[in-house]
Amino acid sequence: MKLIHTFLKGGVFPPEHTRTARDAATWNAMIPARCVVPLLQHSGVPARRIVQRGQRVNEGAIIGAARAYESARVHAPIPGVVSEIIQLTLADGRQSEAVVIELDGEFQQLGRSIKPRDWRRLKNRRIYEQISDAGVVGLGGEGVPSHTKYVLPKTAAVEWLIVNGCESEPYLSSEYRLLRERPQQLVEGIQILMRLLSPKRTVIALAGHTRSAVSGLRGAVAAARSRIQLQRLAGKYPQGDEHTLVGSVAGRAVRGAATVADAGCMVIDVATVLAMYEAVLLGKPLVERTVTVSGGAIAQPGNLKVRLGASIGDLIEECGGFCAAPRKLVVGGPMRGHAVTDLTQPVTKLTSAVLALTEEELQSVGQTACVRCGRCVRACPMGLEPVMLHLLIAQHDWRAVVKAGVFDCTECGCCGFICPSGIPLVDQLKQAKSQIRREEHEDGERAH
Amino acid sequence: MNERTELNTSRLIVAGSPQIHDALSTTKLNWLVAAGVAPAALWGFIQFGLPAVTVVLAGVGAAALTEAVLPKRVGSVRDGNAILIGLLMSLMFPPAAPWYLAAVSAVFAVGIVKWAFGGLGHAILNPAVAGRVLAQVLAPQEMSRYAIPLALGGGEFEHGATAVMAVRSAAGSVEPLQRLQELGYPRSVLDQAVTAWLNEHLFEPVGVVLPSGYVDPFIGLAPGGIGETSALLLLVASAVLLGRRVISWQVPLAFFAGFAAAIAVWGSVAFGGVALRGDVLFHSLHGGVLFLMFFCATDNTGAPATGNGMVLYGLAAGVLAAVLRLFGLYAEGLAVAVLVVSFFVPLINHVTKPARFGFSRRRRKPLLYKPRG
Ligand code: SF4
Ligand code: SF4
Repeated sequence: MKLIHTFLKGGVFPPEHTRTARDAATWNAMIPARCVVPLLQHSGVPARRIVQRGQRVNEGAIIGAARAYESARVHAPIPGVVSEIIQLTLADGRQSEAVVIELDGEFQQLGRSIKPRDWRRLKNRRIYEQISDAGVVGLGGEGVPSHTKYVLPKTAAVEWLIVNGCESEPYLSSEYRLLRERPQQLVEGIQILMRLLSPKRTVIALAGHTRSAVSGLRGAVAAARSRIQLQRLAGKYPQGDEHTLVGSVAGRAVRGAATVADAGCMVIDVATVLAMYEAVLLGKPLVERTVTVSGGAIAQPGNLKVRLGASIGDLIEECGGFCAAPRKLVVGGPMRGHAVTDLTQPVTKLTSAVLALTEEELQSVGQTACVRCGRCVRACPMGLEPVMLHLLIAQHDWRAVVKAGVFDCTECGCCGFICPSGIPLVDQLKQAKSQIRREEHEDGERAH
Repeated sequence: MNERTELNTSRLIVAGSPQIHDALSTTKLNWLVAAGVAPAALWGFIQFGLPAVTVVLAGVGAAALTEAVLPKRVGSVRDGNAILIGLLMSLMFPPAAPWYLAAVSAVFAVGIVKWAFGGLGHAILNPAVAGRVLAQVLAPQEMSRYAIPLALGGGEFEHGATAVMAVRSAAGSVEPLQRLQELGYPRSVLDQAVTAWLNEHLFEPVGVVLPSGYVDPFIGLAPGGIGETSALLLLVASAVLLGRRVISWQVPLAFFAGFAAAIAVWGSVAFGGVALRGDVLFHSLHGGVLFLMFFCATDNTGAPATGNGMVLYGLAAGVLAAVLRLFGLYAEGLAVAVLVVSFFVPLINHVTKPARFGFSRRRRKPLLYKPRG
């Protein structure tokens, strides 16, 4: 094992939650009596609804079919009856149709032990089918359907397969729990990917507190006689981002606007590997995921294995409810997550965490004028100058904004976190991006 | 849903990411730096008595008042910026300076250097430093009246008011400390006792001898600017501020490197010695170098935004400060070095533009990989 590596430029050290959920074992959340299952739980095109109101569905039945290659199947997390079809605003602001299922009938999968299939006998094509049939998407990030992401790139061979065992954000501890609790399955899942992609090197990257999972992993790797390597990284945010991770592990700098696959690197997070494992070996569709419930206002922070479609209110209740008045309810991590006001928001494939933050934790800073301190410049891992972008955006100089690299921004949040003047830099960058895209689109229309 | 999950949604904040913020705000930064120099200021008051208190009160009061009466642009008195400007500026004043000089300079600093350029964040020069330099230009005589600390007998040293001034004005040994000794510069008994102890227990075993005369300026028994005398207090405060990331490490480190290198090379030449034999320790402990590099040069205003730029800025200011110290018109008041380098900040920012991730630094072109789409 090499020395502790990290990406060089930028990054911040956000605080961790003091009452961390890291040391308690993951527990199974109660099965919700009612599930709200959005048909858009991934990046790309929403799934096509194939069930009607009043229809009876089994556990794991397909309720949304992949509409295109860049889409993913959606399954029924619980057996029951489709009571409603509703329109929903997701935590990230996107609109989606959602299927409401009232619990009724038998569980066919829960508690039943399935004999794992021998994946080594399966053809690659069959494995991809299994993955796409199970609706597996990236559980750590934007939810790119896995059968589209982990394919051999046309331009380059896969040189690095990097398993992202870094917690993607502060407060989160679900990756750590998975690393500690299911190392053998993880290693087996990685072996599947190694066969699909035949990477030159395979590395499990651990950062910050997940570094202490190293011994268990080492044992699992040795037991599987695999050539997977382990790499420890510094606990700096955003270590778990694809671009910085590839920088830290493979020493390759890929600009934010490009995919790391172009540089011959594949990054997959632990939860997704395990979802693939279950899809391929057990034929299990993706209907549950591990969610960290944490924050100063949560009575008992913990990691829960949750059926998709459960409401975030259910999870909070299961964690003892609020012990203090929350000032922000966040779906996702504190750096990239979305603030919501609605406890009925469903857990989706993209919900890595539910946080209830108190006033003290927010440390919010009233917005004042930029003091040109340059803290944002020094914090940006993509080497951008957020203060310059902020000034150019104010002038609506879109050409210059693009030239200054707005599309290389990975929206990691470091600049907005550190800015002592409380300027909502990330908001401004996001808005500028969509504005520029919109104008480009309109120009394109006009040209036709 | 039970009562423990009841939610007062009207109290919930909805905002874009990131959802949490770093502990520091501009207001907090100002007050923390002010708190950092407060012990040094108190020490100055004890050392120099009432005149020092009046100078600081006049400087801080005038700065706050100016900010309060001028039409609002950005910020207010409560953000602490004007008060910090007044405080930093007046702590660089000699204790015996007339209070109205401090007041006038503070008005200039806040009213002209800060406000007239557009207020917080728009000034191109550091107001505190500019105020100090203005006073030097307006009243060079008054700004050279450094008092001997009361503990060492008070009054004024006749061969040039501070150690550096004395060394520069009189002829004698090449070594600054020896030259001071020849002139009869006041030393405390503490200095001799501590030096003797250090020599016996620390340095003699390794074959080095520490000459006496370093301990006084280290703890702050020396004539100098009101808040500049105690290296110990300044070092402790800056360590705390550095640890909390209130001030940057790049600027002080580079400043010191530049200053020390230049002093080492020319420090002795200036007094008739040979190159490379300068007394870095003597020059770092005397004449407000630490105050300037930790508390003034680290201010956002007039400093570059990029990390490498800050290094460059610090280096240049450090070298310039050393040159001014050795060959300049005034032995005290190195603040002007910071001011001069500030004029080059736009240039520094430009040449040290950060390397975009995934781009080659020199050609600013994407390295290997094309953007998607
Ligand atoms: S959000 Fe964008 S601009 Fe801000 S630090 Fe992250 S990559 Fe840089
Ligand atoms: S961190 Fe905020 S105040 Fe500092 S330069 Fe950037 S935008 Fe301006």
